Amino acid sequence: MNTVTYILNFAIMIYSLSICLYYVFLGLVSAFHLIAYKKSNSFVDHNLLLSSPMAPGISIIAPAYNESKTIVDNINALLSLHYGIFEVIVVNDGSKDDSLEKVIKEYELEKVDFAVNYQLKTKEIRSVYRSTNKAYRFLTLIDKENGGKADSLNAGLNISQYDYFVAIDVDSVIEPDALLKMIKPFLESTDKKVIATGGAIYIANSCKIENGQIIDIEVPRNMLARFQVLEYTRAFLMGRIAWSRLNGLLLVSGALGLFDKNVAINCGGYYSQTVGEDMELVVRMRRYMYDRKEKHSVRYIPDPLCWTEVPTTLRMLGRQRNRWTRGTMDTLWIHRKLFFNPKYGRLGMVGYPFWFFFEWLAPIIEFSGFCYLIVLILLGSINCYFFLFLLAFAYLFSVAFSFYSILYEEFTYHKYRRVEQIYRLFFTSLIEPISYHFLNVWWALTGNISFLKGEKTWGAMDRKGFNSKE
Amino acid sequence: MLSHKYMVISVYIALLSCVLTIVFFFRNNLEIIFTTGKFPLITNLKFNLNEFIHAFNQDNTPHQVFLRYFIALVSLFIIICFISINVLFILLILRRLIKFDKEKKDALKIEHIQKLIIQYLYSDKSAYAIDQLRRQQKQIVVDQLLALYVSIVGNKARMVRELFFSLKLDEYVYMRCNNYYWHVRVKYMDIASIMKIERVKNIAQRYMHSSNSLMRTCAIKAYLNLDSEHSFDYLHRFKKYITEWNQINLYNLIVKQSLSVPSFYQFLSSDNPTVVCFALKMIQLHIQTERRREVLQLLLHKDTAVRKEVVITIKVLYIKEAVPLLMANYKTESELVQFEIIRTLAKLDTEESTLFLINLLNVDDFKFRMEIIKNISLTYRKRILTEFESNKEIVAIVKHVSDKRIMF
Repeated sequence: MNTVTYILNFAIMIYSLSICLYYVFLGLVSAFHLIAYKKSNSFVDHNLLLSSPMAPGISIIAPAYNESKTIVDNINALLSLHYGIFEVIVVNDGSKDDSLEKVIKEYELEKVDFAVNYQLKTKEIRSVYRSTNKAYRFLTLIDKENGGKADSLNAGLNISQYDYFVAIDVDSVIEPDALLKMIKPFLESTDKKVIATGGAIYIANSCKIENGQIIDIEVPRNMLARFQVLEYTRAFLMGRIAWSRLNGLLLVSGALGLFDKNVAINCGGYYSQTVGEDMELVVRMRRYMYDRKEKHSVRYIPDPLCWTEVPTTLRMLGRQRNRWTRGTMDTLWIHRKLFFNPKYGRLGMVGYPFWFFFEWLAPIIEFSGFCYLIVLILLGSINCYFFLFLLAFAYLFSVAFSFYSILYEEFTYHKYRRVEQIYRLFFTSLIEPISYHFLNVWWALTGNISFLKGEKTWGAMDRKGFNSKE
Repeated sequence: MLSHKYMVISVYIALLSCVLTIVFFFRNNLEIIFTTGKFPLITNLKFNLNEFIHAFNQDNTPHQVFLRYFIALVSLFIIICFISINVLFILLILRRLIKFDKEKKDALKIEHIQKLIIQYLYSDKSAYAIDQLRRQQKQIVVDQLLALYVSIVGNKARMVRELFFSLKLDEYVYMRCNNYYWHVRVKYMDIASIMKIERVKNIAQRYMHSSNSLMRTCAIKAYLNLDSEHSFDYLHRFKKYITEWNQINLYNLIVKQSLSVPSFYQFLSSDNPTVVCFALKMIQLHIQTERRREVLQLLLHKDTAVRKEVVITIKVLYIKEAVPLLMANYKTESELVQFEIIRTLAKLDTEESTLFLINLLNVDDFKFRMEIIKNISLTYRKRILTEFESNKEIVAIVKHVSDKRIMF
């Protein structure tokens, strides 16, 4: 019995220490990358692309399902993005509300005989609409049977005309210069082809938004949303930036990502049988490039390019996290061949194993740890001082890590300008490890159970809409 | 730039706090570590947790020794985390205060400098203004003069430039162009380029082949601006990759600064495919037709990107002689170049090219059919409709491309 306990203790200890070191390592890599990025980008004039005849065209694909409340404002914001050559493709994924009618009326759309190239299989496209008004000549509306986000994106890809495409959530607010910043890494690529770029995503809850633009930035009043501010800041400014630097990124967020269309189509487009289509596509695109022995990279831009509304109730947040976990598991399972496979370079030897051990496995081990702790307490085999000592470490490490992410935000984009906003974030960092974190572990665990049960649904997400009082 | 310094400082502070903690932790044991190469037992450490860990010091079994080291390590982490949290909190608040104060002071300075510049430009107290401006912080004066210079034209712009030189700011900029840090060099080389400080040309030349892409682009831009005689000569010996972003920058510079455009045909023989691509793009954009037949020799270039640009150039320069070559090369080309060949053949619009394209419609591939019908001249669409009336896909594509709501 003692030997078993000893081995278990030892394994958990090694795992915990490695996870801490992993986060410290990512934090350091991000810090140096952010400094270099900020330095170099302060001299870059992205507006050059606006007037350049050499700028490539971009297709923006925005799937929409029951977005009637905000769809017109959001399309207006997309049409006014700062970029020279682009088209906006809105895909109505069989909405049950009046989204379709609203868009048709607002933009003077008519059914057209659009010859669709069905290079990616999708649910039936009922009709394609184009405007009679030349002011909206960049807009195309697809009306199709409901098939989910991945299916809608594939339908959009089938009718898109440019070499690059942006996949976005139609309910997100995109910064006006987002396309200019996201296309730059593609134009800078040398012998290593850039196949996808993503940008940092900020939380728009409690922010003031007018005509699809952020007017005033505020830390969310709702505590759950505020916890997510910290979570997103850590994930984007410390995690993904570092992985981008190490060329081991497995994920470009579904809210905003720019992709090389040819690579995406050649590897089969979005996989509609998963709820984690964003991660799955990136992994598949990378796998495709490795199989063809082509040097490539996936880049992340630290600039805040997209603002999104996050769930503010336990029920909604729980559903979202459950879905994220299922998506991760799906991708890890589909691409299990990558696991420590040297053929897939950093993706197989570093990116995938890290994601497996520290993203997917972490909540499971943590939950098992809690259960183990309860057993030890019941058996009276716990050293109280030792327990408190380790607990203090876990708590302080977690707070310090959040503080560092606030520091990174402060020194880079400085979006939260008022001192009281920083105080609020500090306070949230202090209570997050002893409250929100446990919920996250629980949702991740239930996500695993749902995956094993074979659940494939997205679950309804009620959006409160921007500018609503939480 | 200030924020970068703070960020670096914060990282240094964090690292320093770690080092100090380690030193504090092992202060009595460093000698033992360095002389014997062994770590002393945790019982030797002067640390408050000694009492707590006493329980683990009853024996020296491997398990207990391991635990003692583990506790020492975790204690170290706890201290580092604790110090980090406090330092970060203080640092962030201090930064806010300092930044606020600095912004206020800078705003006052800028306001004062702007007043002096206006005095110099519009009143008879110009000597006094110059004298006062000499006493101001050079960096701010440079920034303000530059901002004004790029936003005005004519006599006043000339006066601003004169003021810049009379304040000997060109020497300051020259000195900064030689700075150790690349980001400082980039900033001031840009200023030198706009203010036409010719002696910076030599520094720019030095960095034109730098491994830092941004530094390289900036140096090239400065050099092109400052040496109009030999502006593009560097391309003959250029070995680095000219990315699309670099090309966009260079083209923008040519257009904005109205640089004299050389004949880009001279670079078509370069060993560097990116130089050839850039030259071909410039030939297209400036419609340089004088030696257009030379372009055809590159149709068999080993680099796909070059071949693609050659085909586009043939289209832009309307080189009808290329039709047989394009048709002959079509089958062996990559898909990327094939699309360009289709567009070019459609644009050249000869009898044989059109027939070739109509024949290609028999290949069952939507993308190619769409590309052919989209680009082929309107007069042939009816002919396609009659020839392929039983082919639903082709009929649909013809309808698609004929709809003005779709093909704006």
